[in-house]
Amino acid sequence: MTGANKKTGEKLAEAEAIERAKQGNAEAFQALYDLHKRRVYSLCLRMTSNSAEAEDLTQEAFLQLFRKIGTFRGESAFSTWLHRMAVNVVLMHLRKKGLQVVPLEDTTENEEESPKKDFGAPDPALSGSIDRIRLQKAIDGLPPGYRTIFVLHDVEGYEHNEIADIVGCSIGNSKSQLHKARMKLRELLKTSRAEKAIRP
Amino acid sequence: MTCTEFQQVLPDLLEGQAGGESTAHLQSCHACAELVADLRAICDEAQHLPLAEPSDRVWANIQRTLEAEGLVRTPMQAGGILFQPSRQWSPFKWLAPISAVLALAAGVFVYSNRRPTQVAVNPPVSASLPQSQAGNSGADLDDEQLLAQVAPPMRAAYADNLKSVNSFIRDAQQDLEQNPDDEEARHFLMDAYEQKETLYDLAMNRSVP
Repeated sequence: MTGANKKTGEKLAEAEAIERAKQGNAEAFQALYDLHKRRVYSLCLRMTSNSAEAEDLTQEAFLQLFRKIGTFRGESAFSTWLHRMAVNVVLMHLRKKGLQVVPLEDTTENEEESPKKDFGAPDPALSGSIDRIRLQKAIDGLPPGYRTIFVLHDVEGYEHNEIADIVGCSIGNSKSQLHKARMKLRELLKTSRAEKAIRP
Repeated sequence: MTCTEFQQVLPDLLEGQAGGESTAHLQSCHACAELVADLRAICDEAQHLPLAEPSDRVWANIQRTLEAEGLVRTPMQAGGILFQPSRQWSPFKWLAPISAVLALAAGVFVYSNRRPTQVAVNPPVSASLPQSQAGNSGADLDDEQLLAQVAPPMRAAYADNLKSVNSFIRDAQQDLEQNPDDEEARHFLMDAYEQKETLYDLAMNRSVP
């Protein structure tokens, strides 16, 4: 089966599962869960950096989805609807924990969280040495505000206008915080590489 | 363009909106070129981060909650095919012919004990049944022949039950035609045939001692 055919088959299976889930079919609920669990869980995990919280939030996102599935009319992709719901569940959770979800506007920029201006550092370039495990660890090390914007934009592929809408900030703020998040990641990756180099 | 000025336009450059000045600066400044390469590498790798798998407890909890909240219906209610509410199926509909068959059995038993030769006069209609009978509308010539053999006091009850079971067969066949791979639909159709077979057996006085 070609990739395109497989995808079409999955969409058909998903459409059928949605209709059956609307009727309360248990197998259909599980089929939808199986189709999307990894992406939803990964999103929750990256935004919280905590596997137990990520599992709870995955559970909550799917339950919210299943409770509302009768209202799904197919105007948008089902996955888009689900992921948006998952993002909202995570953001709500972070807000309840008192974490800074909405990135600070530039005027109130926190110096400690701001990446260092690093124009001419002599250390070698990172490109080519970034492995995904180190990158994931570095993302975990970002402050929650930066992490949210970075995960939504660079990992999940949301546009700045969508992020602004989701987290409740301006488009300009989203752009500027994303840049700072990337700069901070670069710094964290360089530190991590340096630590690895001096370890016996 | 200085490095400080370049840094200010760097976000736009990464979004693909590079001006001529910044491109020229990149070609002449190794440090800024390296910075851009690093940030691009981070963006590229971020798109390919591996997905993680939640533990089984997540689905177990979801399933439990769905059941507790009544969002999951039993196969009889939601199994999708035979008992979709929109088609006005109800599990109670199955109780009707079953109870009718039992009542009929009792009636036949009493009646045949009183007049033992009345029912089984002619050779039995094929009781192994009834693909062909149910194949059309479920009701056909065999049903009429059967009813003709049944003693008049029981005929109306048999006719009602045959009508009911034929209706089940029709619906079950329709569901199976629409969903040929649905095992549940196949199972219900077989059940419907078996019910009709039971009716024939009763009418032919074979299942009554």
